[in-house]
Amino acid sequence: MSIKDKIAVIGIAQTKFGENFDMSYEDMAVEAAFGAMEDAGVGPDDIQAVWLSTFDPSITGGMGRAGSTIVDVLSLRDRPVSRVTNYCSSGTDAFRNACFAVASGEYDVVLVLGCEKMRDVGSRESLVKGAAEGGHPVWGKGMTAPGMFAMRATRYFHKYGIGRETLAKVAVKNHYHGSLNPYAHFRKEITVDKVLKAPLIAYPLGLFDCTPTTDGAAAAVITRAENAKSFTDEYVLVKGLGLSVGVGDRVFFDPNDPVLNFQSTKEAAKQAYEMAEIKDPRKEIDLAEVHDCFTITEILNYEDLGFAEEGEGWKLIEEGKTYKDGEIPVNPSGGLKSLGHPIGATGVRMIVEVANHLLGRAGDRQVKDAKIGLAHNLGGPGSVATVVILGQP
Amino acid sequence: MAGIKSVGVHIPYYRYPRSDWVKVWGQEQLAGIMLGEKAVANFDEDPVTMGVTAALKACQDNPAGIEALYFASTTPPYLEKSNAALTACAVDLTEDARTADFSGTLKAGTSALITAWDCVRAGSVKNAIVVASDIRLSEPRFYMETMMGDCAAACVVGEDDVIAEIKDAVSLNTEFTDVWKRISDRFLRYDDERYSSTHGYLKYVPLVLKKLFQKTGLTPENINRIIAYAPEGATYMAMAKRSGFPQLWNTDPLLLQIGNAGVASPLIQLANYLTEAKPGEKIILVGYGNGADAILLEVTDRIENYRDRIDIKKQLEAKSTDVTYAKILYWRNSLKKNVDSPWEFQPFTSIASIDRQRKYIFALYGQRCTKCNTTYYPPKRVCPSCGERDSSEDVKLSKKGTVYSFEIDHVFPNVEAPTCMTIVDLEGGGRVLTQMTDYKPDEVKVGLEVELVFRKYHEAKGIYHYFWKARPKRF
Repeated sequence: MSIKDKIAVIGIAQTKFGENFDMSYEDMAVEAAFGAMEDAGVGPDDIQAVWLSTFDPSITGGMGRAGSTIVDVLSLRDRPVSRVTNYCSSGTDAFRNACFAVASGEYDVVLVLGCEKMRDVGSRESLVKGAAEGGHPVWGKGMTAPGMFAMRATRYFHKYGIGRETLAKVAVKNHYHGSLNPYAHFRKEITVDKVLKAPLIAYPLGLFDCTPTTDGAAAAVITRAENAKSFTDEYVLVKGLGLSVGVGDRVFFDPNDPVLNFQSTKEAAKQAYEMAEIKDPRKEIDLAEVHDCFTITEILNYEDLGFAEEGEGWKLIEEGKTYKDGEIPVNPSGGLKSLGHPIGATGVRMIVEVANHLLGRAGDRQVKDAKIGLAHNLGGPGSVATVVILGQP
Repeated sequence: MAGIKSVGVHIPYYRYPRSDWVKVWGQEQLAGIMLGEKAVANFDEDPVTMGVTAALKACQDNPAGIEALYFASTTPPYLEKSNAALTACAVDLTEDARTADFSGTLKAGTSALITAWDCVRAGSVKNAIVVASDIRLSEPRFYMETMMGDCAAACVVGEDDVIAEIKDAVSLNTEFTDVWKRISDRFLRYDDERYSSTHGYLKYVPLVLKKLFQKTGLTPENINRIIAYAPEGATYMAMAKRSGFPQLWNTDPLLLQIGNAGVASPLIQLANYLTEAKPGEKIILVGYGNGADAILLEVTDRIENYRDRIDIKKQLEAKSTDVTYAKILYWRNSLKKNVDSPWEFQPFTSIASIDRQRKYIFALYGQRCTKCNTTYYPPKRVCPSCGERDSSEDVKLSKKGTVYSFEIDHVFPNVEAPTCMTIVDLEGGGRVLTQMTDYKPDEVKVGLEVELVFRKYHEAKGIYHYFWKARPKRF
């Protein structure tokens, strides 16, 4: 039994993404959550359950460590709240769990909130510190987030003969899209030359190949499709959901791993496409918000999501086909690269962005005639992938 | 016939030109004697890691039959906690092997060798491995700083198949203060160098030689070589001259290529000389420090088939001088840093977790599934390939492999940056993710042949954390 078309997203909101030094975790959570409730035309008392996505509470003094953060910041007392963490895929996984809960009939109106406050500390103090200090005492020590994806870039370069110039074009595209998005962390266009001359972070990835360290929150209110119209005329339906996990910390020890594409994305996409009855994603998907934590990741995503054959993802960016007016627009928001990546918020933000395009609310970055959109969220070294497909009713 | 069956040495990849030290400190008056280079241990090396590398060469990564390990160093990483047991674990000796730490004086290396020889002769151990390794630090700007060189040497001592028989050994001990370091001292201390030389080295080396000649009834005419601890060039040459038989001191003391090698000095010079020694040659090996040891060796016929296995000449050639004085100070923790320096980090650790996994971390065992034959690392209860539970057996992984992929990370807060991470596919199966060391960034490529070497990863809770790193295979 599929839940295709059973869930409606009736309210969406996000905060400005960036170094929100003037906003706390609480400020962002309140702005996103109340924004989504207002958009849906519901109040706090209507929310029957909440799914909260925050990846790393250790850098915000514990905010988001448990469901009780929702009571602490939103004063939504005495109702079920689950905190979800599944690497960088936490946001879409929270959304997915909320969908199943609403589809079961147990709840009618549910809030999904993703919130991450990363810049109360220096960027070196957040993910880099986590990578250096966490994990096994020695196995894999030395890997950081950029390193995990740089490892795949090296192998991809070796196998398909491309170089840093091709990756740079992903950054150039996403910065262009970000320049059109008032919510984006970076709103400046860049050039290939600038990308190539920037300092290296994890060879072969340079500064502009990497997502920044960003604060932000995003929220969505969902209900069952049959109830949607009683709240609003502007809603979108969930067409497909997929989640798949693969090897995590030990992936680069795994003798079976090609260190190229993400099997997790392929599996999650397969689940979501089957549910949504999508046969040819390149033709049927009108826009995709994909997890471009690093430029190489976006190219691999093209392949894993079926927009290109394996080994040919790079051609899409070389041919400019993933620009917002191209054949298959990818990351019209600016993506993680330019919009930013507050980890727990990102997945929910993708839902918000895709819904905005389907509802015709995306302003300068609007993809024309968008009827079906895809959100793809990837976590860890590529080991957790979620795919959500939304469509117009 | 007890004696040395095999030898192994480790000379660090980096060599620091002494002329640079002269420039750094403006010591032009010493330019005439500051010749050659000193070997410099990389930031991730310590006497244990260097000793493990030398020991694995000496036993060709096959420790079967070695029943004792004696570790000699004046600069062991741990004062309490056995450096010998740590070395034995990485070399993969069995837990019933005898281990002992020899320290406190420069002759600890030769004393360990004499002890090994005694144990073998007594029949209490079949074979023993002797490891001598030092990284000695002198006060910055003091000339001895740049005389010191870092290296390790090891040899296996046993009854059968020896390349050099140990015929006899004598020792002297004396209370004498020429070079010392208290437990609270960071750097070596010296007082009156001239007195130290004339009444120390130049006195006790001749005395121990005299004692050996007396005991064995031999004369210098019966001897082909004397190989002795070499403090620095002038004193060593004075010794040769004053001995009355300077022709026997005609062996390269390696001062220009390595430097004063501390406890490893006699053994590494011996290893070097064994690449050319002829069967039947008699060698006296001299260790010095609070007295002296003299060991009489006779090279056997077996040297002819063995000498090519000694790779010291290749190690001397495979070097990089791309190391600065400032970096060496930083690597040795001689620069003051804030407690919460951004380049320091406090990694998670757990003595219980490391203890459970020590066979896999230190001796590099992996597992092979008996059902699907997949070899993998680290160990896992459920096979990553076929999903069978508890189907795997421990297998020792090869330390040779090729780079499958890599990246060079500039943000990881390592002592040395950048940190090159490599995925290495090992010969005979198994894949490891590890840091690259002793490399130039532009030489790392997919397909590069590498060898795994035991190195220090970092410190956590005051515990040194060791694992195997990849380095380019250079010969």
